[in-house]
Order: sequence, then C-alpha cells, then structure tokens
Amino acid sequence: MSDDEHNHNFETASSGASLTFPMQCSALRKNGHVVIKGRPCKIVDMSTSKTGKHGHAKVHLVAIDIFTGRKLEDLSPSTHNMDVPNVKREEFSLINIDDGFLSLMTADGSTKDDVKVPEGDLGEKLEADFEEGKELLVTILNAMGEEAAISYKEAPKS
Amino acid sequence: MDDTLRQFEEACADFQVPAKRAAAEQILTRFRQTPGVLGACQHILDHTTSPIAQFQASIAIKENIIREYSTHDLDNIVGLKNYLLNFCLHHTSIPKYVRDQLLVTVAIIIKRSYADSTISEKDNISDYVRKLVEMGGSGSTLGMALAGAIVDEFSSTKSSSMGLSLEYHYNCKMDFERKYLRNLFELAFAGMSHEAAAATASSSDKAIAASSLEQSDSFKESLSLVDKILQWDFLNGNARWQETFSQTAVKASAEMESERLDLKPTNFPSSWSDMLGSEALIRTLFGVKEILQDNPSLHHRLLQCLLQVVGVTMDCLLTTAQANIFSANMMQGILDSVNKLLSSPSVSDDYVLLSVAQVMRCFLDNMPYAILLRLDTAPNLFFEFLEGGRKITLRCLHALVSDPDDTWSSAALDECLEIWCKLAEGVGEDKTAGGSNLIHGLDWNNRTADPFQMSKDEVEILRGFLGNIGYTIVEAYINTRMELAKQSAEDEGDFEDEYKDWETYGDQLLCIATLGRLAAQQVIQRLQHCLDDRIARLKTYFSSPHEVNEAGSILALVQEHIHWLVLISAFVLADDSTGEKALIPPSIMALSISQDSEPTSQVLALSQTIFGLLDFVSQWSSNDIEASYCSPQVSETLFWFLERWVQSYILLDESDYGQVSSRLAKAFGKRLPSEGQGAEFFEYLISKLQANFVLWNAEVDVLQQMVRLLEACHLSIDLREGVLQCSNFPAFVKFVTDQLQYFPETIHSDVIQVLASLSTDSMDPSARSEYFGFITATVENRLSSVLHNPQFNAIYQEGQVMESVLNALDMFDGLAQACNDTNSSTLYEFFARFLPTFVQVMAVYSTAPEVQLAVLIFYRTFVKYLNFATLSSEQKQFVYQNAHALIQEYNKINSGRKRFFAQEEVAEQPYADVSTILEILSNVMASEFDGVDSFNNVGGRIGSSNVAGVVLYGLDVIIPIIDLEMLKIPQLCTQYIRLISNLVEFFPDSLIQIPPELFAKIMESLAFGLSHDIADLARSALQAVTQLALFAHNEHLKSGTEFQSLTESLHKFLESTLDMLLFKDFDYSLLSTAGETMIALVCAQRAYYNHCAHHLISSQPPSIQPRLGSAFHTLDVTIPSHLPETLSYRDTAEFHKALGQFLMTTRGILRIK
Repeated sequence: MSDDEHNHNFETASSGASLTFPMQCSALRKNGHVVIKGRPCKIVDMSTSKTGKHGHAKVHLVAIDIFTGRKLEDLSPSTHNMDVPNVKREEFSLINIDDGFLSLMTADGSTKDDVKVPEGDLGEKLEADFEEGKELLVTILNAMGEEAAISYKEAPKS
Repeated sequence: MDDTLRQFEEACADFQVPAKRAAAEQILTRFRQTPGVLGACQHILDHTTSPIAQFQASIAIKENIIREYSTHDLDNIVGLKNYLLNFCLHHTSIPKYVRDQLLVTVAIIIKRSYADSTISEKDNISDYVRKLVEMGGSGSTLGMALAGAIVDEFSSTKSSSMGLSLEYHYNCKMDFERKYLRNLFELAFAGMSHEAAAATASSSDKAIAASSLEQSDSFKESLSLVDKILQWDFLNGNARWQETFSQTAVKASAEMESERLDLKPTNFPSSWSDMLGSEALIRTLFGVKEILQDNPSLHHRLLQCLLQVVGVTMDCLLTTAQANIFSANMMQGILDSVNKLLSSPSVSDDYVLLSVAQVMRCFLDNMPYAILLRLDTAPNLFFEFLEGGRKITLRCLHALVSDPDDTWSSAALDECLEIWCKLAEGVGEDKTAGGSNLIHGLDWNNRTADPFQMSKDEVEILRGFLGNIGYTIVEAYINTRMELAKQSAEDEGDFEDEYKDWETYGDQLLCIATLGRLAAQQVIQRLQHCLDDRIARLKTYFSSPHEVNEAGSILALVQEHIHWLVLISAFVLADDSTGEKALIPPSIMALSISQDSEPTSQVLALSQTIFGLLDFVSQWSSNDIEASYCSPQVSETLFWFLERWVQSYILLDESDYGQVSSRLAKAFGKRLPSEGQGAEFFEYLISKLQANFVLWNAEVDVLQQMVRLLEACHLSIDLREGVLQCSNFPAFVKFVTDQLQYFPETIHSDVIQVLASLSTDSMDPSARSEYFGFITATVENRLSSVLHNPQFNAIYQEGQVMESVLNALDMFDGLAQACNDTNSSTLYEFFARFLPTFVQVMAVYSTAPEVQLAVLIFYRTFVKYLNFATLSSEQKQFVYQNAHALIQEYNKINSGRKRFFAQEEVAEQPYADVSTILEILSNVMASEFDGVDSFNNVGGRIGSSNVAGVVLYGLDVIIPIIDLEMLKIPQLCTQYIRLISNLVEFFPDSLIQIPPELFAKIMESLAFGLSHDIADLARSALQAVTQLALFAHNEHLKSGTEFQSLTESLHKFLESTLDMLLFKDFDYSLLSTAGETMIALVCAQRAYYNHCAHHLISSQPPSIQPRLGSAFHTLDVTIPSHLPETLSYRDTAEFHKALGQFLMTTRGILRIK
C-alpha cells in the first residue's frame, strides 16, 4: 500500500535531502521511523508472523504518528521496501508565546514564529514554565514538511 | 426470640436478591458479630425451615465460638458440640452445605479444646465416629463427614484461623497424626469397600452399580475421607518449625499444584505399609475406579487416591517381601485396567487413558526394576505389564491423530514416553551398547546381590524386550507426526512461532530418540526411507513450477514432513551439546561400526541425505522465483540440525571412544590419526551459510539460527580452528560485515560478536591478528566514513547518515560483546581510541534519543564484557573518566526535559536509557572486583580508584528521574536496588562525605529493597545493611567516631529487620542472610537493640512475656561484645543456631492463625 501512496519523493530546497528514503522492511529498527499511510511515524513495536508455518515472514509494525500521537499499524512482507522519513530535530530558545504560536530563536540569531504551542499536557507545562520566567529550550521536530515542538527543557544556567 | 428469627430469615431471603443483597449482608454481619449470640443461633436452627437461614446461623455459631471460646466454661462447650452433632443426626434432610458448616464448627471445637482434653476424651472422638458409622445409612454418612471435617481442621493446609499460635496448630497436628489418623483411615476404607461390594453384588451391570454408588452419600463421604487422609502431609514425627514461615509453606504448595504430580513424595509412615500394599486396598481402588470411569469427578478422586498409594516408596515399604506384594498387586491392578480400557472401542474416555498412564509412570518411578523382574509369584507379570504399556502408548498416538488438540491424550502420551525413556535409561543404553569396555569396568556379578540392582543378564533381557517395543512406538510416532502435518499444512492462518518445535516437543523427541536408539538400525532405515521419498517429491514440485502454484498446500505438507523428519533424525543421531560436547551416542556408533564393512552405512547415508537437502534448498538467490517456494522453516530446521549434529560428528576425536566406526572417522574425523576429511566439511558449511544469508536476508529466524550455528562452532576449539582455517571464511566475513545494514537490526551485534570471538579466540596467532585486524578495520571504517565526512555537521540528521551511525554503533556493540579474559587488553587498545568520540557523538545527537541510547548500550556492553583485571590503573581511570563524561553529557542534554508522548520509548523496553545507565554503573562498580578471587579475598578490593565517585555521580543524575511508578517494573527495580545495595555493601565509606539529600535517597531506596517481595532483592539489601552496620561498628571501634545520619538509618534498619524476622511472612531462604544483618546491627547499635527488645516484650500479653524474655536472653548471650572487621559465618555460627531456636519459639507464639 505504501508503494502506491509514495511513488515520488519531494525534494526540499534547504538541505538537498529527500523527505524520505526507502528501506527493506526487515531492516527497520524499533525506535526508528517509518512512513505508514502517508504519515511519518516512530516505530514502537515490530513483530514477525508468517502465513502458515512454511510461509515467508511478514513484519507487523506498530507505530505512533510523530505529530498527532495517533497509533498506526502496518503489515508487510519482510522483503518489501518501505519509506523512512528524514527526521530533523533542532533546538531553539523560546522568546515568546503569542496567540498559540511559539516565537523561537536559533543560536545564530534567526527567528521562527510558525510552530504552534504543543497540544495537551506538554503545551500546558511549557506555557506555565514560560510564564514563570524560565529560560526554555524547545526541540522542534521536522519531517515530511511538517513541524512540531516535541520536548523542552530549562536552558542550562551559564 | 421469634422476632429475631423472622428478621434473620428475612435477611437471609433478601441476601438472595441482588438489589437487597448489600443491606442484607450488613444485617447478617452485624448479627454474627453480636456478643453472646449462641442462644439465638440455636433458636434459629431449631425453628427455621430455611436452609439459607440454617447455613447463616451455623456460620454465626462458628465465628462466635472462635471469638468467645475462652469466655465459656467447658460444660457449655461440650453441650454445644453435642447439640450440633445431634442436630445433624436428627435433621438428615438438611443440605450438605449446611451440615458441613455445622461439622466444621464441631471440628473447631474439638481442636480448640484438644490441648485441654484428656486422652480418653480424645479417644471419644474416634469412638463416636465409629459408632455413627456402625449405625449405617445416614449415621454412617454423618460419621464420615465428621471425620472429614476433623481431618481438615487438624491438617496444615485446611485448618481454620482461630487466633492461636502456630505452635498450637502444629502440636495438635502432630498428636492427631500419631494417634488417630490411621484408625480413621481404616474406618473410611472399610466403609468405602462395603458400599462398593454391596453395589456390585446388587447388579452385574456396571452402569447400575455405578449409579447406585453415585447416589450413595455414605460412599461419597467415605471416598472423600480416604482421599483426604491419603493426601495428608505426614510429619512423621519430624519437627518442621519452618512452617511458621507461612510464605514458604504457601509457595511450596503453589509449586506442587503447578508441577507434575509425582513431585510430591508420599511420605507415609512405614507402619502403614502393610495396609497400603494389601491386595484388598489396591484391588478395591482399581475396582471402584473402573466402575466409576464414566463419572469424571469421582473417577478423578479415585485416581488421586491411587496416585498417592502408587507413590509409596521403598522408604515406607522397608522390606523386599513387602515390596513384592505391593508390586504384584499394583501391576495386576494396572494391567486389568489397561485390558479393560483397550477392550472398549470408544476413544472418548481419554481422561481414563491419562489416569492409567499416570499411575503406571508413578509406579515405575518408585519401584526398582530388579524387584519387578524377580517376582517369584508372577515371573512374567512385568513383561505383560510393559506390553500393556506399549498398547496404551499406541492408543495415545492414535487418539492424538483423531484429535490433535486433545490435551488428555497428549498429556497421556507424554506420560507414556517418559515411562519408556526412563526404562531405556535404566537398561543403560548409553553405558553399555557401544562401549563394551565400559561394561567390563563394572563388577556386575557382585551387583546381583543387591535386591534393587539388575544383573547383567536381566539388563540384556529387558533391553531386548524394550528394543522391540521401541521400534513399534517410534514408527507409530513418525506416522502420527506425518498425519498431524496435514492439519498444520492446511492451516494458512497467521503463524507466530513463539517457541520452536524442538523446544515445544523437546521432551517428547528426546524420549523418542532414547527409545529409537534401542532399535537404531530399523529406526534410521525408516527415517531414511521417508526422507528420500519426501525429498523426491519436493524436487518434483520445484521442477514443475506450474503445478506448484496449484498444489501450494501439498508443497507445505511435504515441507512439514521434511521438517519433522529432520527434527527426529537430529534427535536420534546426536545429543544436545549445550554446556558440554556430546559424543556420538553409543548405540549409533555401534550401528555404524557394525556396518563399516557393508556397502552402505546408514548413519552416514542419513546425514548425507540431509546435507543434500540443504544443498538443494540453498541454491537460489532471494529474487529467484524458486526462492518463493522454499520454506524458511525448513532452512531454519536444517541449520538447527547442523548445530546439533556438527558438534558431535565433525572432527570427532577417536580418543573419546572405545571403538570408532572407520566410516565415520574417515568422513568426519580429523586428518590425524583418522585420515579423516572432517576439515573439508567447513568449506561446505561456510558456503551454505553465505548462500543462506543471501537467500534469507529478511528472515530473522533463519539468520538467528545460522548465528547460533556459528556460535556453536566458536565454543569448540576444534570447530573454531576448522572454521578459521577454511579458505572461504575471509570472504564470508567480508560479505557479512559489508552488508550488515541490510540484515535485521536484531542480528547486527550478534553476528559481529560471533565473528570477532571466532577470530580473537584462535589458537593461531597469525590467524588471530589477521582476522581481528580485518574485523576492527571494517568496524572502524564504518564509523569514520560517516564522522569524517566533511559535510557531517550539515547532514548528521539525515536518515541514512543516522542509520549509518547506528549501524556502526551496533558493530561496536557486537565487538565489545566479544571481549573476554584473553582478548580484553587487545580490544581495549582498539576501543580506547573511540571512547572520547562516543561522548562527542552523544553531544552531536543531543536531539536524537535513539542515537544516545545506542551509545549508552555500547558503553554498557563494553564495561560489562571487558576484563578490567587485564588493564593498567591508568587504563581503568580512562574508562571511568569517559563513563563519567558520558553520563555528564547525557545529563546536560536530558536534565529536566519534558517530552511529548509520541517520543516515548518502545513499549516493551520502558525507560531503556535509565535502565542502561543503571547497568553501566553496576558494571563500572563490578569492574573493581574483576580478577579478585572471591574465595581468598572476601570483600577485598584492588587498588584505589574513583569507581565509587563515578557511581555516586551517576546516581545523583539518575535518582531524580526514577520514581515509584518506574520501580513497579521488576527489571528496572531489580537493577536499581541491586546497584544501591552493591554500592552500600562495597563502598560504605564513600557514603560519609556525600550530600545529605543523596544519602537520604540512598537509605530510602535500601529500605525499599529490604521489604521487597522479590527475595533476591531483599537479600542484596540485607547484605548491604550488614556491611553498613559493620562499617559503623568498625569505625566506632577504631576511632570512636559516630555518624549521626548513619546511626539514624541503622536504627530504622534494626526495627525493620526485627519486625521482618518476628512478625512478617518471611522467605525462609533469607534466614541466614537476615541473621548476619541482625548480628551486625545489634553489635553496631546495642543500646538501641536493647531498647527495641524491651519495648517488644512489654507490648505483648503478660502471659507470654516471660517466655519471650527468656528467648531474648538465650539469644543475647550468643552475641559477641564486638565483631571482627569482616564477618564470616564461622564467627557467628553460634548466633545463627541460637537465632533459629529463638525464632522457632518467638514466631510460634507471636504469629497468630
């Protein structure tokens, strides 16, 4: 199924790296990434089964959409290729929160204002900590053209 | 009174209605708890007609008498007991559950007043039962039921809690067992026989007899009583005060239930042997069992009785004469059952099949064969008996084919096979068949004098007999497997094999192999014939592919047949070499020797057929259409066969055998002296491995099996050298390391590990350095090519780059796993260059937890496998420094980080990073003791290094991350508590200077471990506390110093240790460890101990205070005024002995049931 949905790769202008690259299903890693139903996911469980005792292995993947947290599953012959997303994670200083968006700054001074405050618990804690005046470093994850804040911590006191 | 009755009846009725149940329950509970409610209860019993009300009233009486026993005078109590008995006697129509409840109360009264009763009062009990039984009819039923209730109440497992010391329960049981149990048994058995005789006399029709027994309450009660008494856990006069540690008792009984029946020995007193071996008893049990075989529950009861009787051991029977009588009766009884079973055509009675097999097995497990062979009264009985066993086995196999999921018949088959396996072992297949020199080594003639030992002739006769039986069973087994294959081949559903067939059916196959080797020639011939046929069929399918598609299921059937035939062949031809190299089985060697001058050697031919099959299925590439017809399962099985076979056969050593088959020696032996061609086998092996690594690159199971085969070669010196010297091995190593990333991640480090181990353990220095250089260069290149890429900083996050880094780390991990005592210094040289690099990798990948984890995992493996004893102290320091730096970096990246849920780790390895860091710290700490001889240097340490510093720093980082939720994960909890315990145990001095918060955290964790349910954790915590107390004690002795925070902690530990020893459920196996802890704590904090002891004694009732006081005193005199610097069991042996006595006394009176 993934073959039909991902028969072409988008090139990104910035790094020259493609959004995804192919890998044989059996060579995927737990904790690694994979594209399922067009979504970039993190693999949380991988198991194999066979059709009949003398059949060839199929890989059962359980993965979590890295942006929505939704659980996705896929069953594929172990020799098939699957797409793996190129995942980029970058750390920014949080300079402001404005109307549900984070205002971020990189180490070299450029700014970024297009990432939303994460939903749920993490977002609430982030806002609370920011309100308290803590200096925060936020990790932004970028994959297949989407971005989200996935973790943060207090900046080390220098 | 009548109001009470009405209310009570109403509440009982409401209790049945779900909506009103809660309210009714409250009323009933309140009623039961009302003081002095006995009179009201009796009134209710006398006047109500509702069974529920009677039942509730009898519960109320029971609870009341337990609670208020001491407030009544003895006459009242006796009156109540008589009232209850009369009530039962005169109300014959009350339901069984009401009657039983009333009888439980009677039994409780009897036991509660047992210590106060005179002997004649006690004797009255059994007289009373006897009189009831003699009344016949309902009186007899009541008598048996009463006896049953009394037996339960005096047993260890079913007695009620009555607020008395365990000592009291124990004494009652002991006395009752000695004086009254056998009387009651005789009574019960007589009653049961009488009923059975009457039933069979009344009608010759079995069904009518059965139904009359099923309807007889008196029969059922007597059977139940017979069963209860046979299950009695005899004390035989042995003091077993450990029973006060109820946890051990509970655990033991749980084990008994889960394990197989025979694990529970029946330790009847020898005075019972005449009765147990009697024809009357055995005949009756078998006879009644047969009558009732269509009634599963009664049949099961009888089976349980029989299994108890059949489990009688020579310890109980004492003399050969008694054993003869017992055996003859038992074998005849079993044989009659077998014949009756076989004459009935139905296969629906599979539980009967199982029961016969179980009785048979238990019997043969306990009775020496020599006795069975020498029965003067019935010289052929044993052989008839075995023939019966053969028929039963075939019946089981037959039943399995008609219903493969039938657990009764498959369990029965396992029982049967075990019988044969044991018999085959008993005739010394492996001792005598091949190595004829061995048989002369033993003085067989002298042994005939031993009544338990077979003479040489007897062994020969029995073996010959078993050989015939063996072939028919193995043949039937092969046929059964072929039949069963049809079902599994037709099943095209999802298949997940958590366990391999050789694991699931390992015991079964082992028995079949043992049996098959008794008729090796015929069995191998049969296997060869079947394999030839199936391989020919397989080849036909491959040569006409169009038919294959249509005949997919037939292909699967042939593959399943081949799988099983290879599996059975492997078990017949070779034994498992795990742990120790298995020799070629003597009977197989003997067969081969006997065929050395014949045109074909069966052993050789069968092995070669299997290699030919591997050739055939290895010839395709993964993209060929034929590859899709191949079965990964068959390939896996073939490599499993090789793993087992190769260790016994290849490069076989003639000096291991008395006589060697020249054929085998030539085909597989060493060049010298056999002129053997075994070395050439490795070319074949490596070429097949390479071909199958290609073919099955996406099949984890096959790949893992091939790695296991290589590992087996690594473990044998001969095989290892053979592999290293073979010409295609270098190309194979290059192929695997170059292509590693295309194989599943799970095999990465294992493959590298086995290849590195093979080469570093080589005896040949040049081969060693050549291969080692080759492998390390590959590993190094893999990492450098990524890290030294000028673009690295720009592209490090790209998927493929990260994938390369992870693959390189997998390779480093595999290489680190290969570290052992001999190669550690060489490997250290290699790894040392990269240790700082890995810290940098961690820093670069500060946003990628998966890379951080991989770095941690490598470091964990590195410190775990590296032998630090081979390093200089500078080298060690370097490893520690880098461990420190790594954790520091980890802390810098992750301290205080909050994560989005999708970034959580894989579900089955929660908190993998925390767990890995704990392991790193544990291994760093353990490294301090590498090379220390644990026998000569108890608790010693080499040199001084900052190991404790690294560990404490690591803990400071990791403790804030760990919470109670995480400690609920057993593995993580074990790692954490172990680490803390070991730190405290081995480095108590290092704790003195650490920040108070960290100290408090560590003590808190130790206390958590002390009370943990996992015994091993509690043990290591106890050991830690011992050393901590000893440290305080020694410091005080040396310099008079006392550390305030340490003292406070020791006080808490002393309290909890005393509490645990005296009051808690306690794992008996911890006793000696806890004893050491206690003596160390007492010596370190004597004043506080005295305070605790005083407080403990004074808080108990005055009646037991003197006994407690004297117990403490007796213990205290064994505690020395101070302890030696290190504690050894020798110094404290006296204390341990005294502690045992102390606990026996105090736990008996302090613990209440």
